[in-house]
Amino acid sequence: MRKYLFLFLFVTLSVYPFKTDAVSSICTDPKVYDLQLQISAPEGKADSPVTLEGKFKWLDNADNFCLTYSLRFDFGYITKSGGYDTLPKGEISFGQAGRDKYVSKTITVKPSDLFFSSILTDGYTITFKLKVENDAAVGGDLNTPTFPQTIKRYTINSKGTSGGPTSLVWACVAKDGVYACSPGNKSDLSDTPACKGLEKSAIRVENQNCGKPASSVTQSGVSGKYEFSVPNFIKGGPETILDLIKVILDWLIKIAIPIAVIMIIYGGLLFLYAGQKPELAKKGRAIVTYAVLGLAIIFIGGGFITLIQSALEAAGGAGNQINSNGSNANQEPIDGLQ
Amino acid sequence: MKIFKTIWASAFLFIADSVHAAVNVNGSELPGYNLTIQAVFGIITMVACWISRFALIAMVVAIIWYGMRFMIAQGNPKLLESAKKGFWNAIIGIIIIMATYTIIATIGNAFDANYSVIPLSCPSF
Repeated sequence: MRKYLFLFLFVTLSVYPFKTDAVSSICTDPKVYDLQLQISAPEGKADSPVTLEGKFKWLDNADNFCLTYSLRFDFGYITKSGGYDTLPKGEISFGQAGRDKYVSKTITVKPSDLFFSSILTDGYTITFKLKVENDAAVGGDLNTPTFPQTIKRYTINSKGTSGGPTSLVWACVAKDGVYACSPGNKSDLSDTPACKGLEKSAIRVENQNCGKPASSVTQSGVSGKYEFSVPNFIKGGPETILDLIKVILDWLIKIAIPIAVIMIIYGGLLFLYAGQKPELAKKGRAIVTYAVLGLAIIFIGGGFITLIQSALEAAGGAGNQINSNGSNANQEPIDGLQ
Repeated sequence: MKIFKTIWASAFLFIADSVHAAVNVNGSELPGYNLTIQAVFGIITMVACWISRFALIAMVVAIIWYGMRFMIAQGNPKLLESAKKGFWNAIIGIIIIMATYTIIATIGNAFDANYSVIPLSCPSF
């Protein structure tokens, strides 16, 4: 009987916890906030980076309650089939927003990363969308995806120069080591004062490298330095094996705590429904006891090594720290006695 | 134990349902979710959160259940004794469940551990 009651409750209530908490409707009214989406260029090549900037603030008539929400931007785009999808790394949390200042976040994306190159022919228009969501919850859009202010379009144009990397201009390496480009793209560099006396060394560089230090850019036909490094791909950035062990330990402790919570609550539940059965209460007590014992061992884990280390240090270091006068060398002399 | 197994199974079922998000790879929509090793921590936390919520409800039900047992006893000393014993067990159970984080924090404090992950940040409590 008790078992069935438990099961019935479980089934009826199991839907409840996964309900997402939406943002209050007072705060989702477009009149109480200002949301803007800006795009670096309206058109360009399929593989040139597009920078999107999202700006958000609450307006003066927003309720104080709205300001307590912790929010995030959701940069997205319309997929080939017409659905909405978030851009890679497009969810950017920014916490609470104020009334006086815009919160601004940018994201850079290449159209070729989002679609097959066969789709990205000239004239194809990508629609980018910006949403603001409640950061604490899974759902809870602040604005509907159709809110017109948050849409920006990007048209593919392979002849476009915006962001195009291929156009070459005449330039020289100026005395400060940066590429000085000719504004009129003249091969004798007559319109470039920074290149006076250096006309003979004129070279053609990609227009995106103008103003950059020459040592950082490699040109075709020009020997250059190329440096590269492999980024540390492990989260937490461990540099030694010990650091790696620490990361793993930290991870294990993070897993252990939810398990401890589950076990303690299970023990409590056994007590709760033990009723007249002493064996269930006994089992519950054992579960809680061993959960506590396990936690103690987990928590002591790292500390145990430190304990032994400090004990050894105290034993080994004690002799070295005491000087010939018998007083501790580390001790500061007292002013009054000097 | 059977009940506990059911809870586990159902909890995973619901998690599986809630992560049915579409991931876009080169314009084609695929069902599923990019699971990384970091997600394991999130999933276990979610289960723990879910069980804490469930325990809160179970507590209310238990108290009402034992209240009914008291009423049904009608002064019958045998039934009353059984109801009393069950009720006290329920009180102990409630104290243990409510004090879950206190227990963990106390142990953590006693062993000077870094227990910044508690209380678990549940999506909506």
